[in-house]
Amino acid sequence: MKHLQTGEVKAIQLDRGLDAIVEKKRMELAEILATGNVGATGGPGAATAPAPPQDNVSALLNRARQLLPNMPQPQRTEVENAIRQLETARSNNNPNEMGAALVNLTMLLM
Amino acid sequence: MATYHKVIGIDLGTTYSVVAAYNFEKQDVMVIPNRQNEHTTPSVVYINPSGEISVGRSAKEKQQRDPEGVLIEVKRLMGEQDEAGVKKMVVVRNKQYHPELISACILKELKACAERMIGEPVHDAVITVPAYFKESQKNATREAAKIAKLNPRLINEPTAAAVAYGLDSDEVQSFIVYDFGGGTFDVSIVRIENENTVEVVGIGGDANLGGGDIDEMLTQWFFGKMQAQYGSDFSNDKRLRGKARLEAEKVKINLCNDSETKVQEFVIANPVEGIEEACFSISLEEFERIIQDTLEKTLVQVQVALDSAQKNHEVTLEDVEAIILVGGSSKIPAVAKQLQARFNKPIKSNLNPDEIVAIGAARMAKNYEPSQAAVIKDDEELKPAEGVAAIGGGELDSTNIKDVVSHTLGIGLYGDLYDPLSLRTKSSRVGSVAMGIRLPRTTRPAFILLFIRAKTRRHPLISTSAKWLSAACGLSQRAFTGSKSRLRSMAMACFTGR
Ligand SMILES: Nc1ncnc2c1ncn2[C@@H]1O[C@H](COP(=O)(O)OP(=O)(O)OP(=O)(O)O)[C@@H](O)[C@H]1O
Ligand SMILES: [Mg+2]
Repeated sequence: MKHLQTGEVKAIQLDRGLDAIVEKKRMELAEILATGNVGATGGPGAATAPAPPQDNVSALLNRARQLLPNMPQPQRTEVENAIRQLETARSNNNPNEMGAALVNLTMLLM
Repeated sequence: MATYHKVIGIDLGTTYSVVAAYNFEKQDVMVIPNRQNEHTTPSVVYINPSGEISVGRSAKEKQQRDPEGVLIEVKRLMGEQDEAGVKKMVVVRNKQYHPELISACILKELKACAERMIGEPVHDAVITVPAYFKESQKNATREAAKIAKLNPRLINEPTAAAVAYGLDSDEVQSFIVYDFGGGTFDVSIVRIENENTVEVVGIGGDANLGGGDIDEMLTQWFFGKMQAQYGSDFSNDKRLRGKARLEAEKVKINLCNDSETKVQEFVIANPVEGIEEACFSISLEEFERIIQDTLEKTLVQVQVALDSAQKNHEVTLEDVEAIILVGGSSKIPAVAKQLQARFNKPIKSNLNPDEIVAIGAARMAKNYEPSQAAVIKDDEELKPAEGVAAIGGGELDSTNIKDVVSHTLGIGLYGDLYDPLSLRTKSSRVGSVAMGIRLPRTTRPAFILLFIRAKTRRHPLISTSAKWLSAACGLSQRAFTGSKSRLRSMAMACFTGR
């Protein structure tokens, strides 16, 4: 990231909170914990591959798509539009459009 | 009326955890013993091959027999990513677990101990976190609590330590809180303004320095002795390493507790096939020589914290009343000696350094009303108790805690530009948002780089909360009332500088 006031460039790891546990996952984990058993370890196929690294915009898009099926109707359409807006902005490579689209989608997902 | 206040205090440490609650009859906080009747519980989780969980000492002892299934120091993984930006997970026998789940195992165990003692279900806890924790780390801690069916309220560890010592003076007092734990070393300068306001004004420390490193040094020392005696290097033997680490900790604690004896034996039966017993003796002097460099590092960090307190809040060593010792490793006799010599301040260690953080958390917990149930479905925060005076009375009922904002806040602009916010004040009140942040109206942020979190549902980055927006934009809160969609468009306007 480039510091706007000093011009200094620094590697800052952005945290958009995308790793946070969502409600559904939390409920699932709470249930697992309540049983006191997290399932057999080390069996064949127990290994789960680590998620591939994503760029932040894709991560936001993926998350939006992930949440989409459980959204009530008016919000769902709004989010679908915002996803399209962001995709278009990205393919046009337009920073201004993209900034607005990012804010829009992020806000809608709150 | 129940004997215990049903909001408990938990010190969720890297290596040991402690739970405490306020007892109305004794009018004091009591540390709650675990199933082994001990006051501290190892923050260790063991998962056996069929997936069953155990927590605490029994889990820790599995290090000798089945080190693969033993999970230590999960606190270090909470809310963290690796260099590639992938969430850090706990791996046991090739299976991955969310760190939040493992941490929840520990919390569930502590909660169970508290419920046994209190005789009623417990739904709320004040949980302590290091002062340097980022928002993602705090968030992961909150999630762990919810998974364990506890409504969380987080406070800083050094703040809790200062609160444990009570707020019995009318004057502004500052303390150095020296917390040398199992996995980390943290030093904080805490200022108590009056009975209502406790504030962390400076921090220093080393996230990778703790009693575990000291155990590791002793383990190395042991393998050195083994090599000298038997002519080969056994340090790659995982089981022997596990055994030696456990023995190292025992020897260390005995040396420190029993300074009369001065010499301890480091004994391991059947270290390797063909050797019946390995036994080497070590003196307190030799031990202190081994760890001297480590101690020196902590003293340097005390100065770092003092410098930051001076720079940001004009609090100097002169203002410091005393040094509060926190954490098991601060019981090493050389610690108090050297702190005293270097900084020439009285040392407060009459409360057990292992328990003081949990005690402070339980004192704070008295300010919160117990809930009917744990809310794990939604993001309702624990509410301050109404009419707390009726419950307990006492000096802490209206304590206001301010925390340092430990990381830079800024606005991220699209295209990897970053505009740090200038903060009017460096501290924010717990449970609300940093006050006095102003977004430059001319910038067009794509998102807000935020380590403080307002009350958001799912996304911890930015919020449509009226309170947050008004703080962020320096406008009156009334400007932001209205429907959710109106709030959203107001937020948009603010964020895009219109
Ligand atoms: N009497 C003692 N003398 C020396 N070291 C001790 C003594 N008692 C406990 N310890 C050490 O203190 C450490 C645990 O301290 P504590 O319980 O404060 O850590 P923690 O809170 O889990 O860690 P952290 O603060 O890093 O999160 C362990 O390394 C333990 O061996
Ligand atoms: Mg600690």
